[in-house]
Amino acid sequence: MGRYLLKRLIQAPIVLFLIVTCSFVLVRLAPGGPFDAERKVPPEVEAALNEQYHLDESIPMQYGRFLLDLAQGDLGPAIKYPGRSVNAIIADRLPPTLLLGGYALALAVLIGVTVGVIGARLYNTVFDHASMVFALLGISIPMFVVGPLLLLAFQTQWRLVSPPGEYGPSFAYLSLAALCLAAPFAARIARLCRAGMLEVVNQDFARTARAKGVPEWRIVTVHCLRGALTPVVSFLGPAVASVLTGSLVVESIFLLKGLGWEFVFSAINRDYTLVIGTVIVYSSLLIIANLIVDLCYGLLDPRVRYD
Amino acid sequence: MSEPLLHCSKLSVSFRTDNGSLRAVDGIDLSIAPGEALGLVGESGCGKSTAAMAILGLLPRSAQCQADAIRLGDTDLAQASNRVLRSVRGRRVGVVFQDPMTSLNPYLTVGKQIGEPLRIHLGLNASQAKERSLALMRDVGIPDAATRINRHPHEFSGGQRQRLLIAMALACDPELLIADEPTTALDVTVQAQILDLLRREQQRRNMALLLVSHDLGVIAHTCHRVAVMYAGRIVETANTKPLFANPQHPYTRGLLAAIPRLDGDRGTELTTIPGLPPRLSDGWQHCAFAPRCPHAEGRCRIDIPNMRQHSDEHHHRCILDLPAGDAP
Repeated sequence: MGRYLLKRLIQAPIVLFLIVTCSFVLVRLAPGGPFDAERKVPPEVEAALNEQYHLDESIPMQYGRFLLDLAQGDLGPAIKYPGRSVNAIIADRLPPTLLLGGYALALAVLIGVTVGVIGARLYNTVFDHASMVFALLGISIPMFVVGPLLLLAFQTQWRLVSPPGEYGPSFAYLSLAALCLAAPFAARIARLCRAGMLEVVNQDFARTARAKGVPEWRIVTVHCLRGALTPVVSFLGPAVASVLTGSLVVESIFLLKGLGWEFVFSAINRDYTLVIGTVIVYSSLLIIANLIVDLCYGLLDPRVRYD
Repeated sequence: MSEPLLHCSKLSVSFRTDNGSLRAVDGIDLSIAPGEALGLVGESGCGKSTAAMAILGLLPRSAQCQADAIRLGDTDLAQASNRVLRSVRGRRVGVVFQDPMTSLNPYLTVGKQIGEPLRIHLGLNASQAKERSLALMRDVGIPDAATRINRHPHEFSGGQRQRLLIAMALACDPELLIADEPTTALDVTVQAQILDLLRREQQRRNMALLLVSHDLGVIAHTCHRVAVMYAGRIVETANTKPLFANPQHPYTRGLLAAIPRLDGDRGTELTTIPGLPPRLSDGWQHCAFAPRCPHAEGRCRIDIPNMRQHSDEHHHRCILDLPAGDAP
């Protein structure tokens, strides 16, 4: 276990380094540059800007400069935000994204597992069928449809939430956004958890528990839940990635200025430094999430061996 | 026989399948006295395990169970609510299952699993339950119990897992232990150890035992009385000695003759009962064994035979009077 963790912790920076190198090259190979605009900047101004941000140097030279800065934890100046550093922008924009993503994941697991377990216990009843229809809808309807519908209902029609004001979004508004982001994941988790539970409760050891006189709710929670959660945990690794990309959409719909927002616009604007900065943040989040998921297998199932 | 501890009358179980209903157990009567060991024997698919599971309502959802009564002491399990059934399971009746590899929960430590019935039924706290579990593990012969109580089932061998299941079933000192093919999944040397353990605990606790097995040797070794099942019905029941010495039903004779003998001549062919067990969906109008029976006559195919008394506690379901000691 310790060895495994050490190995993964050594691997992580290598993976991150490869991702960052690829994006560094790719974003510079993409057509266009940070100072292209509808109205052409005078050539001498553009040359001056390029010199200021060292964009006139060769790519290997830029890369070397970038690595030196990175080693000191400096992601450089944000090209399209004069006077602001990438570090400052990330520090500013990351918390809302983490909050939204974490909130959505927690909601997805909570709703998904609850619905899945109850569905499996009430197998073949109205609740079971109804919840699976909702789950199918949740998976099929994209967020950019669900989001505006939620806003239309709760904000415009019923006036239950108000758009984010000067002090940022209210809790109710954030919950609405998190719900929109969570919906497809909750639906997938409900289906996985229901299937897992149905398989586990029919296994011999569940019958043993019944033969011992264990109450049904305890059979479900103590004896079967861990087994039923294994497929859910497998799904959560890739789900974290999808939540991060999904949060780009949801942030735009709900006008939450998080990192997803910056990520999209930095790529469109060819804000080279900001693109790399957000890539580093997102990749790190993903790597950490996957490591946590892998460790969760061992917590769930004592038969899992790490070597 | 003294007042029975368990008495099932007209216990029937049918399964709903895609091809209609399938009657696995067809109106059997079973009685077990306190402290008695009853063997329920028959070939695969004759309904013996289904009957045993039906007693505690442990059948899968596709099964439908009917009985005039399943009396355990003064409780009728056939009419009992789920709550009453739960209070009986693990407390008054313990169950040991066939496959120890899958019957233990892989996610929980063995200590937790053995202690669970103690906590649920006797209201012990965690440390009391652990202490009792430890004693139980020692009773059933788990070496080094003190350190292994916190291990998970996959860290035990097959025989040890069956011992753990037995410990779990015995935890609350039940009046009746139902053992469903407890040795079938184990290799032969371990089988004998597990049987000895069952017999020893049965005698020590003066506990009744319902041993379900397809193996007459296992039954002879362990039980006072035997009930032979065929096609969902009991075809012969007697005390173990008379049954083995003087079987009345041709099916019982066939089973006994089919046991391979070490003292026989080498090279002689093993005896078998010709044919296959009947399909249970057929709904028999006459003796279900008649198609395979070497003695069958025309009148065997007219009606379902009733139970007949051969001697005091020896009953069978054959209308023929076979000569004593006849080979099948």
